[in-house]
Amino acid sequence: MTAIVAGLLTILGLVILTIGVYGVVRLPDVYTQLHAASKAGFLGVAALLAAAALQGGGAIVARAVLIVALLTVTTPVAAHVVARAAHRRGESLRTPGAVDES
Amino acid sequence: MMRLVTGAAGLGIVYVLTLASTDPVDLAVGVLLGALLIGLLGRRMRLTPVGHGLPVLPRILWFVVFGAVVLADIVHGAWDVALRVMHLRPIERPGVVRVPIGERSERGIAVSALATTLSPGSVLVDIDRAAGDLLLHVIDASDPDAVRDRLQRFYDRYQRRVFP
Repeated sequence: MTAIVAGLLTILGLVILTIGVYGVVRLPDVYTQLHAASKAGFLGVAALLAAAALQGGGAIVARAVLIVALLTVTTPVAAHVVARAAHRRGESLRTPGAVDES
Repeated sequence: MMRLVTGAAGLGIVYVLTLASTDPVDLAVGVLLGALLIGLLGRRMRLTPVGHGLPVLPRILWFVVFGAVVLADIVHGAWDVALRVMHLRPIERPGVVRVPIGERSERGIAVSALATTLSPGSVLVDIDRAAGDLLLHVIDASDPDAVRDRLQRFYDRYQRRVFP
C-alpha cells in the first residue's frame, strides 16, 4: 500500500513539474510565467520528497521535512525578487486586457 | 532571553534534522551552536520582537489554523493555475493589483507576502511604502476589489491572531 501511495505521489510530482515547464512556454509574460515556474517547482519537489519519505527511513523523513521547510521559505522570496526586478526594469504585462494598478 | 532560547531551540532542531539524528547529544550541540550564532549575529540580524504582546498559547493554536488555510490556498491555487496552463480555463485578465498594507506590522507584511506568493496565482511584485500598498500580480485580476477583499478577509480571520 505504501509503495502504491509513494508511486502516485511520484507521478503527481512529475505531472506538476511538467505542467510548470509547459506554463513557462505557454504563458505570455514573465509575471504569469512565474506563477507556473516557481510554485510548480516547490509543489513538484514536495510531492517527490513525500514519496521518498514514505518509503525511506527516519533519516530520509527528517531531511525531506527540512528541505520542504526551506523551500517553503525560499521559493516565494525567489519569485518575488524576479517579479520585482522585472517590474523595476519596466517589463510590460503582455496579456491583452491585463490590469495594471502599479 | 526568551527570544534567545526559542531561537536557539529552533536552530537546534534544524541541526538535528540536517544530521537526521535523534541523539540528544546532537540536539544539545545544535542548541549550543544556535545560541552561539544568535549571540554573535543577533544584533546584526536585527531580530524584531514578535507577537506584540499576544498570548503565546493561542498564537500557537492559531498558527496551526493559519498553516492549514495557507496549505488549502496553495492546493486551490495550484489547481487553478494548472487548469489555466492546460487551456482548460481562460487567462483573461491577469495583472498588478494594489492591496493596502493596513494595520500590518513589518513582520505582518513579510508573512502576508510569503503566504500570498507561496500560493500559485499571486506573486508579490513590490511594496509602495509611500502609498502604503502591496503590489501583487494575480493571475485573475478581473475584479481587483474582490482580490483586496479576499486578502483583507484572510488577514482579519487568520493572520492577525498570529502575525499581526
